[in-house]
Amino acid sequence: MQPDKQEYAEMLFAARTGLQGLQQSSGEKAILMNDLVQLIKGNLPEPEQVIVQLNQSLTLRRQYAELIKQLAYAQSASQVAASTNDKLAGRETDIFSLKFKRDTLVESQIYALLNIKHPTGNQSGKSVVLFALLDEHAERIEFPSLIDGRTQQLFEEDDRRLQRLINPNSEIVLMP
Amino acid sequence: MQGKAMNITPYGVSETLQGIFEALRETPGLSGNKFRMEDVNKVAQYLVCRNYGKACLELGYLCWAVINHQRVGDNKNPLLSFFWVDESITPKRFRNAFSQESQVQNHQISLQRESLSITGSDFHFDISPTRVGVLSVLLEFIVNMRGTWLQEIEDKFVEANDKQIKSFSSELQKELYQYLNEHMPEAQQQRRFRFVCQWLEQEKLSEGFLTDDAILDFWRYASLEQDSLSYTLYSSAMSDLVETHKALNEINLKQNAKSAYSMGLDQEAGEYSPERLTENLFEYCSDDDADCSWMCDTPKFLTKMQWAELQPFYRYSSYSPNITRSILRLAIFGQWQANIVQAKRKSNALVVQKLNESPASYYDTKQSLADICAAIGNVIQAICYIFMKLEDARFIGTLNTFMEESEVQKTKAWMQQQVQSGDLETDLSGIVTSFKELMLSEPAINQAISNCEKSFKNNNKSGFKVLPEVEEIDVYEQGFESLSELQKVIAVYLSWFSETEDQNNGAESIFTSDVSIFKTTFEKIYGAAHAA
Repeated sequence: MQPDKQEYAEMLFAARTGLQGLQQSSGEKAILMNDLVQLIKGNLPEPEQVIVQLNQSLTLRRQYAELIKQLAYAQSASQVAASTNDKLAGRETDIFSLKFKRDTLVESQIYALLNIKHPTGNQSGKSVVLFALLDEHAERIEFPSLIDGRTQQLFEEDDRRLQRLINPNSEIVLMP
Repeated sequence: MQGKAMNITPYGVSETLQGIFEALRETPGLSGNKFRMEDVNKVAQYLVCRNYGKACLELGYLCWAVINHQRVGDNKNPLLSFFWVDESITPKRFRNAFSQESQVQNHQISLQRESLSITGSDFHFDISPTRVGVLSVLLEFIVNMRGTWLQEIEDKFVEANDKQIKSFSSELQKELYQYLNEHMPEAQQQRRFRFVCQWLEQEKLSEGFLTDDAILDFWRYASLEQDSLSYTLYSSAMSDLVETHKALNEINLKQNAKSAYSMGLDQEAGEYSPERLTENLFEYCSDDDADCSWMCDTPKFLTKMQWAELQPFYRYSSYSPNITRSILRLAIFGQWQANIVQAKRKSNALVVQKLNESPASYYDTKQSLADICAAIGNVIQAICYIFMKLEDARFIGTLNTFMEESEVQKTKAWMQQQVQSGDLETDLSGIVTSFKELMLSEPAINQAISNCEKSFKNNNKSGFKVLPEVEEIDVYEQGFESLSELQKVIAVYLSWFSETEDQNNGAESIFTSDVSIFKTTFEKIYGAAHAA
């Protein structure tokens, strides 16, 4: 066979086998940026798989945190450590406030009270999502939809989500 | 999002790249999967043919339009919003996003009938809304390659000129080139092709070399001679021999071309045009490269298990008259080998156990194919019912594929009569109402429709639990066409069993002989583990 035709046959072979290869399932599906965006939106049908990968990869966690901030409706940066001993000191921004109140009946339970001044349709109609970013981990906390700009969620005191919300070092991000 | 160890599969692509494309096919969006299978396959074609120059440039202009449009770009992260939050990546949503014309100083971005017209300070470009799907897949891939691309584009493209856009395209192509050199090294594929050609020469095989004996001989030779090319796997050896046959066949078809121009050779540059390679490759190739895994999504036309079982039969179906036995060997012994390979990762004792297990027989496979064929028949009936309930005239065509011939003739005669008498509106509205009269007078047709209803009601899979909306109906026609194709493919194999029964004491004696051949070869390949 002439050399140029041989070369062309080789190219056809390489391209076709390559395409076959790209159509095969691999041992480990990649995590795309879109998967992270869907995780933030709460749209992943099986979020556990992505969360496992996130926990194993610092690069992915950083990207996830960066996306959360880019998609944010409002943010509250980490606070200067409170000068009082008030462990339940909340947050206040121009857009939202987050306060904490111990349950009078069950002392081990604490309410997180969220107030949003100009809510989005999503927050009023569906649910409100906050992220607490701390030490390159992002904790997703969902609240019921707003009524008159307010919503609340009850937690056990040792609930990790509450701990992250309360922690003054956390960056709190409110999603649209 | 990288950081995995590079492991190049027998297909010449890295596991990382496989993982990315698997994710592109399955990543969710606003409704169902984010990307269309055809768009993901198109990007795969661009990459394997190294034909991504034009797409990179198009993507540059599209990103420029997104960033510089007064309304679309009025966002702190316009690309993130456009491609990921709003997913303006279908023609309809794309048109909606750009519905308002944007005119800022000497920039103009306006939606025309056929395209988005983009005019910058020193350039003009038109983008069709039908391209945005492919370009969004490409962008997702690029961002996976390096996450900082998005920010870089957003920083550089505000009021960028033509030179800057082309510079971006050029940088992107360079980076893709380097990335693909690592994840799809051409050298490995070249070695494989040359190894096969040398063997063909050594065995003095020429045109028409693709037979069951040749495939088996090549595997037995290559598996013991050349471990580094992964030819221990029967599936790899068969795949390479078939692909070599296809490639050489293609060359022979073009042998009479007066010059190499038709193959895309640029005589001056001394290289083949990637664009022409893509055209020739995918124009020549039949649908055996088609990936039917979309049929396992929503609507679920097939289960994943059914598709996994059908895949080898489907992939090689255009060769099936000549190498049916090899395809059966692939389905059964290829799977047996995969089990042994998996066992090898665990323990030698498990390898011994797997070697001594009998694989499914050819008769079992025949039964399984027949069962899948029957299951497909039920899904086709359910689709027919959906068309009928949604008053879509396609139900008649669907119905005619599984009714008895006498009933089909009656339906055709009825249609003709309806059209001639003018009783049917030209757009076929009211066809279902008219058809019900036929059903009343023809019990067999009535029964066929009743069976369709039963099939629909018994189908609990996604897409069949409730009737879909009228706007969603087209995918059911695609499903019907692909399912019909699969039935035809299965029928060819089932007829092989019938023919074999007549000729060679049946499939079972062939199977017994093949078990002996494969077991002997597996024992040689995995023999060290076996003996330990």
